[in-house]
Amino acid sequence: MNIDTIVQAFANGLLLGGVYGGLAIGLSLILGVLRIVNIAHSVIIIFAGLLYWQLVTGFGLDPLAMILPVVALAYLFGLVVHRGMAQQLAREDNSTVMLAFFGLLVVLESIAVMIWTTDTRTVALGYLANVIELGPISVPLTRVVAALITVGVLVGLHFFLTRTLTGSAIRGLSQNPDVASMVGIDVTRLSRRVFAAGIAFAAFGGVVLAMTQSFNPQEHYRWLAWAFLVVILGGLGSALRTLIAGLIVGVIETMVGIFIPFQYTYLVLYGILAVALLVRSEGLSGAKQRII
Amino acid sequence: MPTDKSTNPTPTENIALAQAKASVVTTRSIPRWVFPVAAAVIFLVLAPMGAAASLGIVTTLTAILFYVIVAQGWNLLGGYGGYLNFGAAIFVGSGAYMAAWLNDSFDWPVWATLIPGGIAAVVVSIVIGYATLRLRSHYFAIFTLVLTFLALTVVKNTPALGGAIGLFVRVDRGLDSRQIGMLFFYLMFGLAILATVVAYLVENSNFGYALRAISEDEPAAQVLGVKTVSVKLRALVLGAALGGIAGSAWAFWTGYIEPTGAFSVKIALDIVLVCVIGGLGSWLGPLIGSFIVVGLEQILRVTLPGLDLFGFELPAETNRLILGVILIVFALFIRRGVIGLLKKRRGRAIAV
Amino acid sequence: MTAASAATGSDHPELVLTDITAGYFANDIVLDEVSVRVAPGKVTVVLGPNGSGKSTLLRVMSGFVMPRSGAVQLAGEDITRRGPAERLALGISVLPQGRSVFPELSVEENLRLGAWQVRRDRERFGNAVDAMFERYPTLKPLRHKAAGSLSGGQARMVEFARTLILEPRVLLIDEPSVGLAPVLVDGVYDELDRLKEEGRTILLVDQNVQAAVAMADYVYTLAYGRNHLDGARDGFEGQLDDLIKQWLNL
Repeated sequence: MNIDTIVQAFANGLLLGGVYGGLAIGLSLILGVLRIVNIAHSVIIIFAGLLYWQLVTGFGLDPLAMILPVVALAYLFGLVVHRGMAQQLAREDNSTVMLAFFGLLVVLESIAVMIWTTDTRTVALGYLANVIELGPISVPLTRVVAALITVGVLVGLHFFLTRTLTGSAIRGLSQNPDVASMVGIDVTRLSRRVFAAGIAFAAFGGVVLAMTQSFNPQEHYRWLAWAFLVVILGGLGSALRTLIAGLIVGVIETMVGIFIPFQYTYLVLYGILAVALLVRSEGLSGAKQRII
Repeated sequence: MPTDKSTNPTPTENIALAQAKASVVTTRSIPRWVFPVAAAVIFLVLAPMGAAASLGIVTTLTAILFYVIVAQGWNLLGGYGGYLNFGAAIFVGSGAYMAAWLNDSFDWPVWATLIPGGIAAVVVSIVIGYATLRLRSHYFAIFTLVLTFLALTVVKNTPALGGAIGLFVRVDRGLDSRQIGMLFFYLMFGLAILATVVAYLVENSNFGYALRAISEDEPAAQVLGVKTVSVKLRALVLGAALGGIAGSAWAFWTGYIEPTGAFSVKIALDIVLVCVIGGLGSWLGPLIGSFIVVGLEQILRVTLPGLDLFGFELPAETNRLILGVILIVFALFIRRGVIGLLKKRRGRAIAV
Repeated sequence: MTAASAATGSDHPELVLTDITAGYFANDIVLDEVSVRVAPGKVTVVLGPNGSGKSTLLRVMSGFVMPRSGAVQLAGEDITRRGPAERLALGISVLPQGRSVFPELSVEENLRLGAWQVRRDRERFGNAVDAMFERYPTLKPLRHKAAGSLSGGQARMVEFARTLILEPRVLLIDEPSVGLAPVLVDGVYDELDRLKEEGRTILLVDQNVQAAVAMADYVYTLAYGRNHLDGARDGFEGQLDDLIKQWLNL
């Protein structure tokens, strides 16, 4: 092992981490603002990935142009799910909400398998399938594009949440929904949009994932674990901290990958997840008061 | 926990008190003895079936009884305590793999593996419990879901446990299929009675009240002196033990286990459905729910392949799709399950 | 300066509740045929022991609880079925009990959210926020601080500012001194006096009987969710002690 290997792994880790930030932001937003644990998060990721695969590899459409349609479709789907399900459960306890979302997970996973079977898929990205050589390291262009898009989206979201009035309203909603409705914010409507945005971000995560990795419709739980880990490390609802946490997870994964066989790296990450849960448990309950 | 010191309640307190009393009346409207009698009748009717019914029916009934055991265990923390576990397969799978490994390596018979299977699940549950039960319930839920997948990957990569190929589990070779069917029916039958009795005892114990207090309002329960973490852990461990024991028996019953089958979300979904449809936090719920869910799955399995939709044949996943929709419907509209419906209807009839 | 316009905005900006019956669950009645009139430019005080329905009355006025029967009118117009957002747009603002700032948002963001309803009117929006910093100059240097990091008194000022930012016709104030350190209570009543002098229409629900009656023009008392007594302040000041004793015996 030489220094080049480490630099290469670090670069890979950053690129991977950018994608992880994208995987987690939807979960973070819905959990942070609406206090809904969307356990169907990863199935939406995988569904969007499959849809993207269908459009790009199946129909041969442009890989960059197809990002927006998939995300927009997910937003519409999010509006429907909120109206039909999440909103109805707004006053119910946590466990009822989770049961319903577990049902949604099962439904979406079944549909995905019905349409696309359980085969592992890889998106053929055409003109993006080049490799960039930068001195000692080489990186696939797709990863660079995916990471850059994700960073752009997350930074954009960060500024939206912190610099605009609607962003203030969303953060206000997460801090005190009662007062939010007292100042005349239509809490139901805003919640619906935030929920739909969270689903759209999940789909976005699915697209960037599909751009960079092979994926399988029945192994999405792994992405749920990763997204969850990023959320725990980064805290709730802050796009910037989610991005940083994603980068950390990505770098850890590739660095660990230097030393131990590929198929065991996930064990290390699960270990980190367990430790993070134990260590940050107070931070998490503290995060109930201070979100974003 | 009783707070019977009613010293001059204010009007709103009066109202709250009256409502609390009203709700108590509603749940007590069916005489207390009806439910144990119903359960006893179910088991009494089942008892001769293992010997008398056809092999197909015995197999279905054995599956129902298997679900009863696991679901009774799941219901302790999930139903009474409100801590949903989407990884019921972890405990079943741990028990099954422990049994299969003991059988494969040392030729242990099914009886001998029940306790080790339970212990394996208990060990796993203690690790999970310590990592997650201090947190809010949703972290526990999400963690169990994720861990199912972790367990699957670990077993897949462990050659001693057969890797991705799995393990064969051999029952005594001298028996014919009819005798094996009977053997496992009565094994599951006994375990299901045990599990149901455990659930009944828990429901009517201080332990059960503590769990329900946690489900209603955990911080308040803590203030009242309930050692919440230890109560939750005990419920999880007890439930895991039942799941692990059932898993051991299940491994022998199916004769072959492999990781994707043992650690599938399908088992978790079925168990959650059994409890939700039957009624969360009621010891009779899993008993009724198991019949409904397994019956439903049988009906779907028989009818679906024959149907086709606009010329397309319906794929096998339609089954799960329908179950998922049913779960959503129950979560949205029938939160207290079938048991809840029974109680509610009777309550209203008396109130009118 | 802007206060005068609030007072003279209309000839009868008067909130009238007639025979309101309300409750939270199917079979409870928190308010039983309660009637209250809030006169323009006056301070109307509602008193009553714990659980007499004061806060619920306020929620009915602000639209967060729909009455089962009875009518709510603003300036002669029936608004019984209007929701909270609509009532806010019509000029009914609430200052809720206890801390109600958005703790993680800055002071400025808190005020901006107070003006959420006029966000599309850029000019009015900007002016409204500026006007509140004029009105509460102590908040100006704190504008970028998180509201949760302010002292109790400063946070209360942010809440006042947020409630006043739309220049409401009627101000509903719920237990303004509850939860505040005793040294800060005077500051709150000074602010209430200032609002009264500006000629605003105020409905004040309070347990701090002495202070509330001192600034009242008209007083209602509730007991067990019903109208108990009502009358001009002068009639009340003499019998305050009796009233309090009576409540303690309830």
